[in-house]
Amino acid sequence: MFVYISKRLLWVIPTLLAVLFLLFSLTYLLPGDPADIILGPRATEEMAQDLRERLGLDRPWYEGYIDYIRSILRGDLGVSIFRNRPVFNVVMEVLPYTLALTFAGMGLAVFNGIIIGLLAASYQDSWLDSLLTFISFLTASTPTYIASVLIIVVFSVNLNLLPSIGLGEGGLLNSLYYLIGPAVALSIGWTGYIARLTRSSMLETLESDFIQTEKSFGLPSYYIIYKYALKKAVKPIIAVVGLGIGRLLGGAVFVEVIFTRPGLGRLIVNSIYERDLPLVRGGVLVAALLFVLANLLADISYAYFDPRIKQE
Amino acid sequence: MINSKRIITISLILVLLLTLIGTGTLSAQNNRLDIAIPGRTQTLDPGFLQRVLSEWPVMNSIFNGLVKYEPGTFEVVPDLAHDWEISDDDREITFYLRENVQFHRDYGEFTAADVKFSFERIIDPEANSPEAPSFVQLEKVEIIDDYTVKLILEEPMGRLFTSTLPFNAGLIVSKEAVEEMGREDFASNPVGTGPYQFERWDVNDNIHLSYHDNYWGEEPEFKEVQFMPMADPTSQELALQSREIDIGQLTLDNFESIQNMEEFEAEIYPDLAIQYVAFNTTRYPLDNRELRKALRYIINPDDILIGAFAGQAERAYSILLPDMIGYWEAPAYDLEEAGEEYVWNLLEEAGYPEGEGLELEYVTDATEERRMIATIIQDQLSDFNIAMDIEALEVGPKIDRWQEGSYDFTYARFTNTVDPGYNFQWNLTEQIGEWNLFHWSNERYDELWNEAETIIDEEVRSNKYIEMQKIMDEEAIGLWITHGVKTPAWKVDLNPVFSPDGVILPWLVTSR
Repeated sequence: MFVYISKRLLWVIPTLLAVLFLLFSLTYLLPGDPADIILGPRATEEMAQDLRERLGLDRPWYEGYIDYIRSILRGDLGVSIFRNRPVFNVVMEVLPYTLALTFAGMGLAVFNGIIIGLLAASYQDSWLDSLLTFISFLTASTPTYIASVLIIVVFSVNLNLLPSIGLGEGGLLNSLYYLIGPAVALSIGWTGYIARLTRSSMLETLESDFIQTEKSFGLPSYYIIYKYALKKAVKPIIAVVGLGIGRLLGGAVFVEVIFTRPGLGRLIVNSIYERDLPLVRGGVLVAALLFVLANLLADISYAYFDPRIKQE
Repeated sequence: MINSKRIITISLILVLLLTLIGTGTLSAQNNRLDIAIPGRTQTLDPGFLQRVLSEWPVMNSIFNGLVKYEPGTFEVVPDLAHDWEISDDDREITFYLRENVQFHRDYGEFTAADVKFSFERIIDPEANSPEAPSFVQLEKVEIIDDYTVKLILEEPMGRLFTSTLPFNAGLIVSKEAVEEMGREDFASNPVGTGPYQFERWDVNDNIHLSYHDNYWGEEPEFKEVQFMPMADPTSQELALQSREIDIGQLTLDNFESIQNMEEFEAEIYPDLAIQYVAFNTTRYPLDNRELRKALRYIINPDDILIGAFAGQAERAYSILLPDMIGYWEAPAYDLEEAGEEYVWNLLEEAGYPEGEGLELEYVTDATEERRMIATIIQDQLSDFNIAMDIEALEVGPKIDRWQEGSYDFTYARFTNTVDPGYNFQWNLTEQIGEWNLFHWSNERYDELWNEAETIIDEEVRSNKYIEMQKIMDEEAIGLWITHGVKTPAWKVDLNPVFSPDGVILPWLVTSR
């Protein structure tokens, strides 16, 4: 297990180096003079020169790349062009909102997905099962941005029940209230996935020998489901949560933009609009780190539940 | 089996809770105006704005200038200066300042020293301000006494009163505040004399302003303003419909449907910008002026307005908006009026009978609207057997192509100011390889532009610009399409005031 985790951790390093290289090449890959594109016609030649220096465009690329890695290792992500603040601070300021949104979305997906899956499995082949399977397929194939717009149109515009923008300005309860729409929108796709997974895993468990034995002892079926089957059936679900967090981080970009919430995704989108390259780089780097961490978590949890790897 | 009743009960309680919290927060904020703006504000220091227009509504709420545009017009009227005198040689302008004007947050009284500081920090070469060209002829500012200040110019300055003083560069900052905080902190903690003072910039990039108790002018009805950057137009429309913002911008696609709703009002304003087709006058085949003249008839802006602007944008006949100094209406070059025969003849004179053999390269942005415009033009050209190759590019490569001049014609949108000198500068010879998309050089044009820069007299100045426009027209360097539109929408219980280009003036908003 320890060897396995260490191996995984070591793999993170080349992944991050590749990400850093891609991010660094951004300035070189983007056609045109970044100074012209970023500053526009009003910029004086001095300003353009100053920006080229800040972006390291006045040096050969490999020098710039080494410098870039060095400063990253020092924890220095550069300074945002338009905010005039360290990129690290800007990113850290919005990161908690993205994490809150992602975890809330995941929590909802797991909770609802398991309930739907359990119901479907318990009433296998009934009309309820068909209905729930249909719902799972529908939600699993609804893109996050469509879900977001639908929630706003139905719950904000028509029913006037949920807010469609911002964070709210009250205490915790108010913030949670503002989180409902975005979190539900984000959770929808993964809810269907988890529901299907729960159903099949549950059905498999219910047919296994030890459950059959329990049944033959005459234990009531709800007791079997809660006490024994669920415990076993839920394992593969926990294993996919790590993977899901990575996916939901991606979905959070749409949700943040559509619901006008602060967060890593919206920050990256805005900085791309403004062509604030240091901020784009910093934002994407942190997003990539999170993604890698989430995948690592997924790998480790797989390992934990897979006795073969656990043995190693 | 599973207790589904319990689940239903829990869900019901949740919905009920939601409704309870919901009614508390969604009710209208009575004393606050929530205004959506299209993009994040980059800086709140008016002397160092990179962009020309997007920060204006915020700046305008926090700061005053010596003069301002009369609300609803581009006419210049007194603001912090109640009067001024211009010397006979137009090089010394004495402003008499309003007394007892207080800066926000106890930064003291506004005096001549603040004026000197605000302007001289922009022309300081060390400061590298993007606004420096706005004060290009300013030599220095002299303090006569606390309430009298004199601008000394190296040469008379045409744009001083049209765009420098009433616009961003002319806004007065508190000398004490900038010196105390330093420029960088001031950019996120601005101190001015305007109706609203800066409160905070929240994590969502919203800017919160509140009424400045010691404001010298009339007290606004709304005591708080929140500017909310919302880049996605659909989000703005939905937020308006769910009543979470009071004033926002619509897209043309939804303009009519929202305008028809009882709860909202909306209006169309011309944008302070110019969208045009530019011919590359130095590259074969469009170095041929007769051919360019023929193309002016073939490209029909009205079709573009219908196809790409839902018929809601007005056609432009000049770079300038109609009520600006120097406005001259170029002929319409209407194909129907001239007759197709006439245009075939033009083509023949240009050396392309039946349009045969002409293939033009067109560079444009990769946005949906611009692609649509390109297709419309392509279709119009095909009626005259002219082939057109559309290259829809991202901004970077597009600017590269513009500056190299590697295209036959292109479509551009340039932001304007109220001053013609600013708007006409891009067509100067010195701008070739930069932003002169016609790659066109005309000595007389350059001469007139330079002359007009140092003239204060509106009529004399106006005549120079009219002559310049006639030269551009005679040379057939391009075709003005439209100024574009701004389409603000607001809740019906508000009475908003906008500038002629559709920018909200929050302190003048009242409720019905």
